[in-house]
Amino acid sequence: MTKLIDATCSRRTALKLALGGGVAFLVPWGLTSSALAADSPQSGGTMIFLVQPEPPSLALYASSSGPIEQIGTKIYEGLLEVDAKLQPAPGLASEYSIADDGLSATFKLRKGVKWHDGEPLTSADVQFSFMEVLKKLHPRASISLKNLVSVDTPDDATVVMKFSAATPYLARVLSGKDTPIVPKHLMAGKDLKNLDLANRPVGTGPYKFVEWRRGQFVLLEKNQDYWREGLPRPDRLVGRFIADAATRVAALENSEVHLAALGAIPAIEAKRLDALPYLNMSTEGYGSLSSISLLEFNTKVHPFDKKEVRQAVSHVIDREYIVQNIFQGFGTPAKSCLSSQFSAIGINPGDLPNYPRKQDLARAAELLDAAGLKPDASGIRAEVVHDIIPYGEEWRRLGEYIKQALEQVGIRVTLRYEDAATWTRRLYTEYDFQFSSTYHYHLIDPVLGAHRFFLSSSIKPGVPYVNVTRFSNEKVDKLLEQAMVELDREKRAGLYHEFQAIIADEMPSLHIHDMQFATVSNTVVMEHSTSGLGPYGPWYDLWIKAA
Amino acid sequence: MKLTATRLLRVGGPPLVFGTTLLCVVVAMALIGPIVYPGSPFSIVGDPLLPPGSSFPLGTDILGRDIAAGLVHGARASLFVGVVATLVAVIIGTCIGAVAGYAGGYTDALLMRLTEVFQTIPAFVFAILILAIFTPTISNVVITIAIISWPPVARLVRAEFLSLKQREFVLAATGLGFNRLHIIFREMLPNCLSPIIVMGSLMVATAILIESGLSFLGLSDPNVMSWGYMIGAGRSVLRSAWWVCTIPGIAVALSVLAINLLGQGINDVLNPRLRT
Repeated sequence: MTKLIDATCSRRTALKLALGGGVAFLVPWGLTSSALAADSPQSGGTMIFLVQPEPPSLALYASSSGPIEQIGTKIYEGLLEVDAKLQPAPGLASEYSIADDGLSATFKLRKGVKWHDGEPLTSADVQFSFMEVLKKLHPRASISLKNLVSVDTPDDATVVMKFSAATPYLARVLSGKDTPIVPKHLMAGKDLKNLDLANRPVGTGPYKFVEWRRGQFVLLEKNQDYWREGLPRPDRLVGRFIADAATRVAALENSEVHLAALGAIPAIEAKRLDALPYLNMSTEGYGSLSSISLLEFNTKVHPFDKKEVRQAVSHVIDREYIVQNIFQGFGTPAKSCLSSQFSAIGINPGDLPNYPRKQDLARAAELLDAAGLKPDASGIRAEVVHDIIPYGEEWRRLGEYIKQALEQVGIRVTLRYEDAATWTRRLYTEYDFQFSSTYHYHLIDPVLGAHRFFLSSSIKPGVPYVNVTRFSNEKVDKLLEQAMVELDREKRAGLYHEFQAIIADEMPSLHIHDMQFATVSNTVVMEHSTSGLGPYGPWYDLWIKAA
Repeated sequence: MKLTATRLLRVGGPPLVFGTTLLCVVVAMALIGPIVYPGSPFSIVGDPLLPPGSSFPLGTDILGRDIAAGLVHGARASLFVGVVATLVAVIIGTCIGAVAGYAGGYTDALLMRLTEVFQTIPAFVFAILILAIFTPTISNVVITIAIISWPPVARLVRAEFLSLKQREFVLAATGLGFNRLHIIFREMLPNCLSPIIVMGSLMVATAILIESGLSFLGLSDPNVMSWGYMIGAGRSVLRSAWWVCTIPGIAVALSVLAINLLGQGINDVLNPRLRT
């Protein structure tokens, strides 16, 4: 394999060099590194990061899969970027304006931006990207840009988008991760689903694609003609694929890789690695996922057809305990049915009822009594079956905890754990369940990630990840429809506050905790989470500190 | 020849004694355990991940459940699955093997091809497949292990029957006009019981291992505490809380060792070549 590891960053390689090249080599290396060891950004070096699992392709424009996004966002860029506070910032478009009625938006493209093959970027590329590629192929963009009807190109550097209805979250879905701009000259007139470009991407981003050795790594190198002067800083980026989790952990411990993001390192190992002096852990950069764990009730069957029973469950489970012991402290107790990440758009409400800080068994018993579930001679109020989402150990632990917790108030729980296909069919096609654990991605705006779980129109038998509780409320439908097109920040927040209050009372689903994910990185890696997208950001300002 | 204690010790040797003693301990644990630890082994009784020797002799697991309680309740589950699955497998295997060996001809060919079909599928992968299709409950786990375990028994019994069929006492029984069921079950089967018993005792150990393996992969009844489940649930904290999976791991290893030693010992005792 090519020697991918920079000598300054790997103790192992340093040792090999010392052994092979003689000690004399090590002395000047030690001197130079101490001379360079300053806190001002340095250029050069190779940054090696883990990507798990190996992606099937690098077609960022046609997929929302995490591994593709981790690599693709270094190569492709969007019209805008997302800053650390999840607010839009200029990208390929140096300036933009959205009309007051929200029906059109104008973008000025940056001058002198070139594709990696040397061709200039023009407004035609942008038009092609949105109308021919993203709206047709990209799973998320096809939803978020549903209202986009046309993209006009008055000149080479100007793009005007026209919408059939206002899109309040527009500026936040134009990053390279959500809507990458692709080269028209390499795609037009070809079969878009079967392009060479899918595996050999050509973008405008800070890094150029060099090589993908299957099963081993993807190699990217610095784009010398990048439009941000003097950036990016590292000479090379390497995305490594290591199939075994224990080996991935060992690779970080041995400084063979510099960074591991979502999915590469088990949560509990991340904590242990964080304790090592040369490794850091960060939970930043996952704000655009807005992942939240919850229980979904079947509101059409006994006993969860009564809202008091659902509220009682919320008083029985100890959210803080769940976060600390089952999810290893990654996350915060939920306070409403929407992700706490939406504080970025100001829609998080204050304290809502039925989200107690601590377990409240007395209140739960009252609610169960009110629902008519009285304990029988042996103290049993009801017998239920809890389905466990088959996506990993934590959810099993959660199921076991819920079983123990509910038995304290006389609800006897039997756990059921099936494979993913059976579980999906049981819930979403047959509605043959009482309550199940699950988690949702609310994404960057509730319209994109959350509405489908609450709208009456989303009760669609056979379609996974929609309104499975079959909760239906006219007021909720109306509020969400208004929020979909409301441009005024304050008014929109008001709509969502009202919506969250209704759900906190009705509780068709019970939200447990805002999930967090860990990025573990070597201390030599600086500024890897400066954008709100973290490991999914473009990494042009990232730098490697000489040891 | 009588199976006296001295003879057992002479033929079986220390391994048999050791195996038996160890197994008795495990069985005692399974029997007495629920009296010492009444209530559910899933109850959260203390702080998570307390090391052994604190207020809990074997420590607590990731949710603060008593590992000692899990261990004794797990002994019941593991032994239950091991013994029942083996019994079912032995019954299926014996019936198929006996019929095939006695009948011969097309029946034999058909039954043996069927057995081969089961034997060619890797057993553990087959078990995973069956459990992934059916909901993992304790009865489904037992059935699954029985389904993947019966073919060797069938082949063994068939081979025994093929050789017994030609013996004088069987020919005599046929000549006397006994019906086939009588000949199979009253004349022939008792004469090939010893190898079946030896094989069965070793199969209990395998069944416990398979159950542990399946639980480790999460394919176990979530309402039943078993050793494999404890190991699987604890592996994520192996490097920070070794006791969570090490203790049930030792329990599995010792039980399987005990049963193997016992099976080996029974073999030595029952093997006619070692008889004196």
